[in-house]
Amino acid sequence: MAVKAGYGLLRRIARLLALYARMDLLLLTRDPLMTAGWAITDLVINLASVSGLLLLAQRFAGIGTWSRPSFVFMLGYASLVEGLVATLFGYNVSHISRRIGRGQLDHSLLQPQPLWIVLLTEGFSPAFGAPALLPGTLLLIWGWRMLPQAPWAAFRSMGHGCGALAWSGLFVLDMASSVVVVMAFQYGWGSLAFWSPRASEELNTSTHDLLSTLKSFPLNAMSPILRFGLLSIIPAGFVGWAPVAGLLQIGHIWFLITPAAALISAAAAAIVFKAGLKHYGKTGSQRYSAFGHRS
Amino acid sequence: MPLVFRQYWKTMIMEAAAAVGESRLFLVGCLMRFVRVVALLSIWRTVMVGKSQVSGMTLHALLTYTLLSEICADLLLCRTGLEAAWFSGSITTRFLRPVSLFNQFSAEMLGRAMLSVSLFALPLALASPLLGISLRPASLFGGALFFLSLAAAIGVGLALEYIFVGIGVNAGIHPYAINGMRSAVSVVLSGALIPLKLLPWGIGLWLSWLPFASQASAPLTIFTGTEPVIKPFLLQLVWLIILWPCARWLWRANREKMVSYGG
Repeated sequence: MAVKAGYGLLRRIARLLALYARMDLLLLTRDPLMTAGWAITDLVINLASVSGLLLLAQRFAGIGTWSRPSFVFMLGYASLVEGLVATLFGYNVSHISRRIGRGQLDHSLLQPQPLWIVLLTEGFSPAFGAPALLPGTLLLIWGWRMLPQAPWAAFRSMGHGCGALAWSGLFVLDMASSVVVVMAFQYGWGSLAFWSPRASEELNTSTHDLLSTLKSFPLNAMSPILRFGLLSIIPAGFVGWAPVAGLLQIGHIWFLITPAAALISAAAAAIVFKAGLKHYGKTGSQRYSAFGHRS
Repeated sequence: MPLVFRQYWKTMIMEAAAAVGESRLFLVGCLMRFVRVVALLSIWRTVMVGKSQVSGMTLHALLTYTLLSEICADLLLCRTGLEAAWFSGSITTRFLRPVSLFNQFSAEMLGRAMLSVSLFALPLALASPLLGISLRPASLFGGALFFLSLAAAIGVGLALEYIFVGIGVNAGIHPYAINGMRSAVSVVLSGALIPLKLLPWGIGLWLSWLPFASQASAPLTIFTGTEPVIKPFLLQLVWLIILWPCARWLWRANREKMVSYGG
């Protein structure tokens, strides 16, 4: 019975994802000029977000203990995480403070399905997100090709084929965990919009920009206090540095640290979001008051 | 205070108050910016280990450059919110006010910058000795010229802001795209994040002639003395003379073509 219900739920989620993907494609293909404009803009924005550190790594043949190939690999990884967040949770699903502050959460609450399914599916935007995935993918491949040995060298004791398979599985797990960390961070801070819509929208923009800037910073050389901050309050270290250091065996990073961080941060974000939703149940959206935010 | 100044002063005050009026969460934003600065400084300390100087820049000059860039960030980036008002449609009410549209947006930007200076830049400047950085100009002349250069940089930044939006309105480009391109281009090409001299393959030399360099790199290099002080300042003046007539013409020619999308 439970298996049947689980299968039904997965089918429903798949149907919704297909529906939102089609709507995303329709929106984008209304106008070829607009489509080209979006694609070029997203490509430039994503390239620009990593270009500074990329140019520095080129100039200094790496950053600190990170060689140029491993650093490029990390830039690609972090950029791909950001691209995945944009693709899977577009239309302000990842910027939840905007939806809350502008009264748009009500549109989701009105739907005849659980809120978590709405948030999991409604932002799926493969057409809009594709240009955001490209720079990360290319950098990842470039970094990989420059690495002096296969990245799964540390798993050789398992045999070449099994080692590669285990490393690939770990890569996918880490990538998914990094996406969860970013979303948990966004929802943790963004949920403050239930109490302060305007201030939180500003703050959430700052937190997002900060995470985006610091996502590919190597934390090795930072002071312990700063490193702790970038692995907790602002978990930028889990978007690039920690998972890639684990995957490439740079330093002594526990290879399951990012999945563990994802679990903890998701639980913390869920607590804050639920508390905010409870508050929202009493107050409703300020947007619909006479002087509400963006009324 | 004459009426012409008072109306813009009031706009600045209103804009600054709007950001702090709702709650104290804005203080967390300042704290986040501080973390960003410390992280950026640590990157320079990492890459400069064992090097006395790179492309004529010492570690001290690099740290001063970065700290000053962060202190003046709101003024150097020059984001007025023009494209956001165009996107949300709130620009329509700005057209109805009996004051210049350019000046309204400029006053709003300065209002936000004023708040940022008091709550972030000033404390950061005072805390600079704790970060191991001395915020002293390389020369007295450079220090004095820095303020003139900063004013010129704001002028260039504002002109670029109106030119970008003018082109966007003319070509029917979405404000989001304009905003994204402007941010991306400004950060990478202006030298606000990384000094242009440190870019590989000598591309910084070419970029230093572009108007984006006049928006950030010029005042920072003048203060840190990493370039001859006169050249970037003169270049800023040239760009001001070229860009402002272009900005005004573009705006005049295109403002009636503007289509807003609503909130």
